[in-house]
Amino acid sequence: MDNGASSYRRFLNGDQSAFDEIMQELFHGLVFFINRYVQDIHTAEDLAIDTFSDLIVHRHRYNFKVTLKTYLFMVGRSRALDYLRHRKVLNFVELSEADAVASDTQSLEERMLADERKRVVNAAIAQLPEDMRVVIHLIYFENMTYDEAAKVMKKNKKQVDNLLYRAKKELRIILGEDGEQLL
Amino acid sequence: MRNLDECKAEVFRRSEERIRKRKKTQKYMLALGSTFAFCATVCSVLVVSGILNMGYETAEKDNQMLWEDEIPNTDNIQDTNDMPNSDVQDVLESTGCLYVQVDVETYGESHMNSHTVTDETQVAGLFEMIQNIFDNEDAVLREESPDFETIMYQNGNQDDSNDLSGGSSFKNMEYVIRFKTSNETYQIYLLNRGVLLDFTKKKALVLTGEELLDLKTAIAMEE
Repeated sequence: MDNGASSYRRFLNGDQSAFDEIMQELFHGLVFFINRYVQDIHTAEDLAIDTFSDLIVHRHRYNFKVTLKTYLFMVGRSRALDYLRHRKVLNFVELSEADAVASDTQSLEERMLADERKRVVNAAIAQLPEDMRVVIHLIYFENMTYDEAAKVMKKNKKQVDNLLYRAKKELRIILGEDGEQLL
Repeated sequence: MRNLDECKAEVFRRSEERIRKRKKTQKYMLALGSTFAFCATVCSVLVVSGILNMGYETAEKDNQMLWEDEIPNTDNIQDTNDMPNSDVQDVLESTGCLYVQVDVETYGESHMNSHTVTDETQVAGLFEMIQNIFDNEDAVLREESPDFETIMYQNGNQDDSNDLSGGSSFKNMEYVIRFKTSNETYQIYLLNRGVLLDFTKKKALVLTGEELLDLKTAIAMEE
């Protein structure tokens, strides 16, 4: 499993179906990840689309030294932070649309979080600070290694390790006795 | 939330749009760069040609100044014998060298008078008068004008072309008019029995009565 690198190589060689495979494999995970930052499922989807279009526009920017998933998450994180930096005002959602947004978010979560254990943790990490939220997401939901998570978050392995340790500690407090078994 | 196919279509649509925009920007930058390069080339060509022109003019001026510096005074001419009088005249004409003094020597049977005029206006006026006499169309057509060498020989003067400053060479002449420049270069005219001789150009001209009278009046001037 090379997390899309071989598919992307095939896409660069002219196989259009390879891009479908990449989208199939990584798109929803990326939207879910970006949503951790922007807290808006539609914006996250929009940013994920832009991230994927980067793969087509800047074809040779990806150097195959990291997995395609790691690369996409790095670009996605940059786009999310860029969006947050340039967002002038908070987006207000109409009450009529709020239900739809919540429903979309829930359906994505259901798709991404198959087991009960992950759903409980997902609900709990919403109360954590952003960095902790992201590190838990990358390690527990995306099954990334510490190295890959460090690359996405632009930190070193030790920082990721410390951040994860503190995040777990916080989660244990939030989840109580159940947390011991979940983490 | 859109389904995966819609998202895929959106990805390709945005990609095409971005590629189109990027190509447009590249073309714009290329056009801008070409224009800038063209302007820079034209400007540099103009500047370089200007500098070269200036350098050429400076070099010409330097050469001219060098030439002026190299014009030897009459002593040098006498010693080295390397500069004919006609060359001296050419140099004077080309450099626009001004005469600053005129010595007029008047020879009688047994005496010699001389006076010097240093007023530049008077000197220039006299020089112009003599020049006008020689340049006069009427003067050119005067066929009876005698040969310079003959007159010099008849008067017992040697044609020592190099001795421009010589004082005693022209003792058989009635008048010796010696123009002098600031750098000690001479232009000599002789007047004898109504004949004006340009010693430098070796020309002789018979003056009309009026010309002779005017010239004698002019050379009689005192400061």
